[in-house]
Amino acid sequence: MDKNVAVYLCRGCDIGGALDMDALKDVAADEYDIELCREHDCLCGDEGRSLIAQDVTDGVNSVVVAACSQRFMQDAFTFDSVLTTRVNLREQVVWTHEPNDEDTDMMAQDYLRMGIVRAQKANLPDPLQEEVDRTVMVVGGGVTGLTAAQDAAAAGHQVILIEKGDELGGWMKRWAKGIPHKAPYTDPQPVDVGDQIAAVRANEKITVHTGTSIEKISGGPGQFDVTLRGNGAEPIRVGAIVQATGWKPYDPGKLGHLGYGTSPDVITNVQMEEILASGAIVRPSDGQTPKRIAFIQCAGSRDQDHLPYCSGVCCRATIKQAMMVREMAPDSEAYVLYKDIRSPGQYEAFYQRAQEDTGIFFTKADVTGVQNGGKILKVEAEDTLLGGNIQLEADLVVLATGMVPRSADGELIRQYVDAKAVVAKGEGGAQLENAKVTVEELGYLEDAEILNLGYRQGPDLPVFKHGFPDSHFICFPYESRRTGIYPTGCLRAPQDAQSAQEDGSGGALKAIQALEVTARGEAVHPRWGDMSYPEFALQRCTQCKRCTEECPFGTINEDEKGTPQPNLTRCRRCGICMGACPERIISFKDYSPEIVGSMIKAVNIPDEFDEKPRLLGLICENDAYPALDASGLKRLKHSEWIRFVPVRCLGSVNTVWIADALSSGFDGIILIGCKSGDDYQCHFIKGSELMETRSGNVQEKLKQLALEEERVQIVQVPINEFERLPEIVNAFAEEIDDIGLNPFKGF
Amino acid sequence: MAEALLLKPDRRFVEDLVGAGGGDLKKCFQCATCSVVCGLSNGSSPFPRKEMIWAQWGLKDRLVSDPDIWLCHQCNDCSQRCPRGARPGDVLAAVRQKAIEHYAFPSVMGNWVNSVKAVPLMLVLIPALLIAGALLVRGPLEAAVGYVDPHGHEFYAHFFPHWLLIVFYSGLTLLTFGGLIVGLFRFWAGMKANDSALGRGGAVLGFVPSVIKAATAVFTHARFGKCTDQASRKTSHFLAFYGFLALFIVTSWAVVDLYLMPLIGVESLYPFNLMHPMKILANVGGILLIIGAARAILKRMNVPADGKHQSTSFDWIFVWLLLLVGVTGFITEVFRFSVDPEVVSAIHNVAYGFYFVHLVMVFGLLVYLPYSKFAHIWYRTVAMIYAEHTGRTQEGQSLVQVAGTTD
Amino acid sequence: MSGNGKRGRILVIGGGISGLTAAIEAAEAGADVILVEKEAFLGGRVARMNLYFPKMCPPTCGLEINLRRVKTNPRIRTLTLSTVQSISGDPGSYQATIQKAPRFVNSRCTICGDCVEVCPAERPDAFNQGLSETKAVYIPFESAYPARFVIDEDACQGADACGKCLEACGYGAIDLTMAPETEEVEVDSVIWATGWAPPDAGQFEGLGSGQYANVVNNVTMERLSAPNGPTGGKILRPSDGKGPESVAFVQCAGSRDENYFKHCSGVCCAASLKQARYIREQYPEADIFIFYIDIRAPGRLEDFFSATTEDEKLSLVKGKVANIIEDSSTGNLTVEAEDTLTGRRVAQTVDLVVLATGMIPNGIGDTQVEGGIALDEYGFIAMEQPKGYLAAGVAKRPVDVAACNRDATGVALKALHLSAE
Repeated sequence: MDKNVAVYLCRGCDIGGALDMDALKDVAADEYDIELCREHDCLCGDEGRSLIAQDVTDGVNSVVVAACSQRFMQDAFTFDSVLTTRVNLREQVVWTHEPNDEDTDMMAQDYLRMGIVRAQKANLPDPLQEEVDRTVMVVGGGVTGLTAAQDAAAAGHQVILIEKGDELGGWMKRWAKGIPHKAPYTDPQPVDVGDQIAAVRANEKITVHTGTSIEKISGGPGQFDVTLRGNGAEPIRVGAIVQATGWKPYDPGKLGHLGYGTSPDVITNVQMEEILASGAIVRPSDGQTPKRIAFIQCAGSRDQDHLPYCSGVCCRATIKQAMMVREMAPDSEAYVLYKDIRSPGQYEAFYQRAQEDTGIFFTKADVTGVQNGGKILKVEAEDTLLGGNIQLEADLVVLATGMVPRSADGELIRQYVDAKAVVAKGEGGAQLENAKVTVEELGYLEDAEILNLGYRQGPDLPVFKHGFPDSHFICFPYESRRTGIYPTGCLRAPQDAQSAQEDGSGGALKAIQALEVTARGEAVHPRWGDMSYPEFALQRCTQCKRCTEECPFGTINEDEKGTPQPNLTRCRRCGICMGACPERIISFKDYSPEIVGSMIKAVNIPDEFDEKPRLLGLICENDAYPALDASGLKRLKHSEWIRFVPVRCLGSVNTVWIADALSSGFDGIILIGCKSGDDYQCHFIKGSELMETRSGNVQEKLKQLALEEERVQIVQVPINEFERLPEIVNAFAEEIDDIGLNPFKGF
Repeated sequence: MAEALLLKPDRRFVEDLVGAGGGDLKKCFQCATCSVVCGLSNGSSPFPRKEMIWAQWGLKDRLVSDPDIWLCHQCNDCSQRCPRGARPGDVLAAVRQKAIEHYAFPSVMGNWVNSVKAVPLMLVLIPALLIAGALLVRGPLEAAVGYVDPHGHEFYAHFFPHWLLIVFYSGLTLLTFGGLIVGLFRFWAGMKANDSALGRGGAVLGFVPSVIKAATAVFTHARFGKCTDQASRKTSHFLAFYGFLALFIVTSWAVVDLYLMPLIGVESLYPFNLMHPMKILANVGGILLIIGAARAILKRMNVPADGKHQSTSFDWIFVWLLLLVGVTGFITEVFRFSVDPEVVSAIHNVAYGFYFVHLVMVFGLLVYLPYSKFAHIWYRTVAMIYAEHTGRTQEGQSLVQVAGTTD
Repeated sequence: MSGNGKRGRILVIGGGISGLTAAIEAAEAGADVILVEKEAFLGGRVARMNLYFPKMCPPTCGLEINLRRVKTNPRIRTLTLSTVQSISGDPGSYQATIQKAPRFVNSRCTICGDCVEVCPAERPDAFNQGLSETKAVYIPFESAYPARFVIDEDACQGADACGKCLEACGYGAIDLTMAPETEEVEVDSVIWATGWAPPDAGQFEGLGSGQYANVVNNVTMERLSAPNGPTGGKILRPSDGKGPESVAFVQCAGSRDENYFKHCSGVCCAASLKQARYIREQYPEADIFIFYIDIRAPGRLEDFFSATTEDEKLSLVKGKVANIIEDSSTGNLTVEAEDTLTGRRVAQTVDLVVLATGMIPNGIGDTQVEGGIALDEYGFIAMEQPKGYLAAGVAKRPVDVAACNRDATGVALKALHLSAE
């Protein structure tokens, strides 16, 4: 489809009064032979919009709207099958610079040039048309998985429920009572998982496979091909996956300091659940009913040597167990030794109810040890509320151990597998030695796979922290780094059964949503609705594997030669692969090394005698660009030398742009992105981090060109610090001014 | 830090305290609001937060030998502000009762004197029988030693002679008072042991100065005055306290006047006429006692319905005894001045009847003192002495910065 | 039904983080959503926060993504300045009456700000807890959505008396004749995401809120720390604008307290730890004290707790503050508590006191609901409701933002069920 570009200049919001509009028209007409270039006092108004709409019906298919920021008035400037390019003359130019000033006009003209170039080179993406299977697969048959399966089915989807064990129900099935889940939140309530299992079994939309694990999962969202192990069936096709593999208790074997292993009467809270479920409270050693039961909270939790986190449920679980003990053995007493009682929300009532029982005793205490005195166990603690250190005699000690997610660190397993391969080959000196060490260290990962994903980056979800495989747990809790696969329940975060069930629903929704969105050929989180996708010119590929390594979402596999094999429904459209590719063979219809490169080159670079430096700002459109808008709304001035180009993510910045910019005479380049590191704010997890590593190579390039390394800088600006943004830009401008102009100017 | 203490959680004792009015003690979650809002609490050993958790764990030994429970005058500021409705004020009251019972000697008395069930036995039957018994043996005794009561002609002496009154009451009171002394010594020892177990205590002020400071506080009601919540309680207590004191002095003087004065040749003025200073003191004291006791009773009857303050039999028995002693005392006095002792008539028997009741009430008050709530006059005083002795009440200790902060 | 995009009609009440998430997630799964928000912007409480714990990241980061999803999703209809008057009917066919308060600014607004230039009237800035002022015509905050000005009816002098904005606006965006409107909608299910409000801390005996200038609550503290707040993000104490050299955080102010609010809000501990970091960030030498009963930092918030308390000049005192006394000459405050682990009473004098007040549920507000909606004794919407009524986030139980998001997402799926039957 050949382009018919038209340019529309808005005079509204001070633009008309602050800029030389005729000069802008000349740029369009003279420099780019744009035949249709209109001005209007208010393009976003009905009149302005119909003006453009009319031209569109007359054949215009690529419109350049030079007005406000692309973040405003999207609806006003969206026309069917028309590529709209926004040029931000308002926030970035007239609101932040001197009106009727030569430099301000030059800036506006450069932005228009970039816009026109984009309008000429970019194309409307055609949606990815893939066959999408709408079946949801749920992995794990505990209460989380059961709920996910039920709720997905209730929304009209076929569901396949996979459970490794022989029966459904998970931990809850083995427990007599649970913590209360509704008002008045005062008494343990019977576990109703039995009914739930029956309902799932009876649901004709749900196919249950117990005693089954996963041999392999290939493909991507909408078209996962799953081979099950155990029931020998041929591959099943499913559209999305909810992983609800739950938790396992922290290994009490590591809790010798709390007496575990020294006496059979030192048990975990999970063992206690089983005793309570058995109907008779007897202690393991001699089958007698323990008269004094000590509950030690945070056993191996909130402990840097064990689990650094808090499982959030042990306090309430212990309260429940203590109540059940008092109910089943009224002569017995329960002593609860806690660090902090964590019974948030309405569960304050649960704690208080337990306190009111004269047979349940609470104190804050740091337990220093449990001594085995034969029949009697002696608990020693300090920092109690009773004044001084205490010893406490007990017939049974219950260690409140925490929850460990049943996850598998896909990336680590991949390292292990790769290392094993190297060792198997038995070649290469240092590399071989390292591989041997790795195999040694990671030996515990043998057969650790759960999902067995056929992803080059590893067979399971990458984990973020403490083994929880999420990626943005505050704002987007179910997001993982594998599109269409959603961790839920205690796999995602330690939580009680009710929250886990709610999690199951949440995970199921995300799975259903992924199907809907994928079927429309759109991107899922965070570039919702984006139709564009990367295209690979493989004939020019050198098999450097950077794209397969750097994609945060494991989109790309490799064939044996190392040629990338993209699975486009896995793609989040961030463009990190595009930024990584040294051969520039990866591009989107409306975003590519070529398009952005041309936009950069379109900037008019004054020669050195004008002493007007030019700076390039490659700016993340997720956080930094909105911040720039906010600073514009506040009319905060920034340097007139800079020219901003929004990028999908700093990770999508291809270093060739930097090289092009320097060779075309830019004096400095600033890359503005999101925070990286443990508390990263990058919406694509690794984008800004990857750019930092790449900038190493950039600095190399600068050295070769004998240029100062200060000419290329990366800064991280959170979206809320918009007031700092102009300061940063201005400081950079001054720094470059001090260094002096780019010697390559004019060549 | 002190040696690790072997905890002996005692649910029975927790339930005792619950039964004695500390019904909500288990609700406490140790926020220590109580220790801060208490106007009588102090910096080095604030209460009642620690007493609350000791009570929750049933640590009887610690509680009964804790001086701080006696530094509380139960203004109930703590109960008002308690976020959990645990009523620390009433819990401490229950602990005080248990402390008196614990130190009671013989211990059985502690349980009996304060139980409502035992009232007919302890406060009616036993005193009545003993008094009746005394009256029965009176004649034979006087005959045996050939004693002729010089006061025998007086109105009530005719019915119950002074010598018998003195022998009977002093004897029994001194007997139980001995038990009290034993209890107080055990209390003192307990306080010291408890403090050293917690790595606290140690003399800060000499014994005698401590006694003087404590006594001053007792007679001025200075500490009671710090109770912000129920200042009127101080007044009631003040009246009853000095009313009782006055009557005690008069009674003692009567003995002196009757039997010691004649020995030095001074003629006994007994029975005092209405204008005699002692009689005036007696009447004033009686009135104070009645007003004080009555006020206390009314106060307890009209507590707010928020359930943050409750009274127990331990409280009721004591305040009613005080009132009845006062009232019956006055009735008997009225008879004495309105009836002609010479003209024997049925009215005499009515008068003697009231006098008898009065004697029974006095018995309950004086003889049972070490075991009833009345014992607080001694335990609290001793605790206050100990508190001064160990520097608990020194102002300087009430405010410290958070440990390890730059100041 | 699956796949044809017909996932039913959902009314979401409340445009805070829970309502926003529920609305977006349901709409992207194919439902048609009406999102009703009583304020002039979406984002509710989180929009007023400086940073989220434990990542210390700005709420607007996630909001930007979510608002983009709202802007670009035709299935979501957003009604701001609107409340739901009444709901009747049955699951699958509820009739709701929505009351829309006038904004006095229409969709032609380009947020150019010419109206603000000329507006003579001022109003206390509710967004900043009244710590600053805006003109009668204002935009709640710089990245507010809808990106449109709004006129405060109470502050505006009206067309006759003033009307300057009418002349100033070049786009005919201002309409001072706008009147309240009501609209009837029919939906399959209703999601209550009504959220919470902070309590009036003035009622808390002994804590001096409203009495002493330098006793603030944790909500105000967020504004005092936010770059777009009244102090431009510089934490200064109200009495004299002095940077605090010592700050005390009073946990459970009015919470876990039968005299006020019995429930634990579950987030105040982490919130105070976060605010302690604000202080440390700006005042490396400041002494920080946190007085608490139990520190409640579940899950990986424990990392945040342990990392934050490594700070040598941050002291944790296990004991609730019962009294706060002001030195009227300096404005300094002495907080009194018992350190229950040492068994000693402490009195700490500080420059600034932050009361960690809890979250009081908004329940169902003034909405008339046929058959009623059961609340629990704390005012949270009870777990068991008719099939078509669903509560999300803090309307249901006091939880943090992460939990609101996870819950609201699950609730969104439950809301789809009715149309699938």
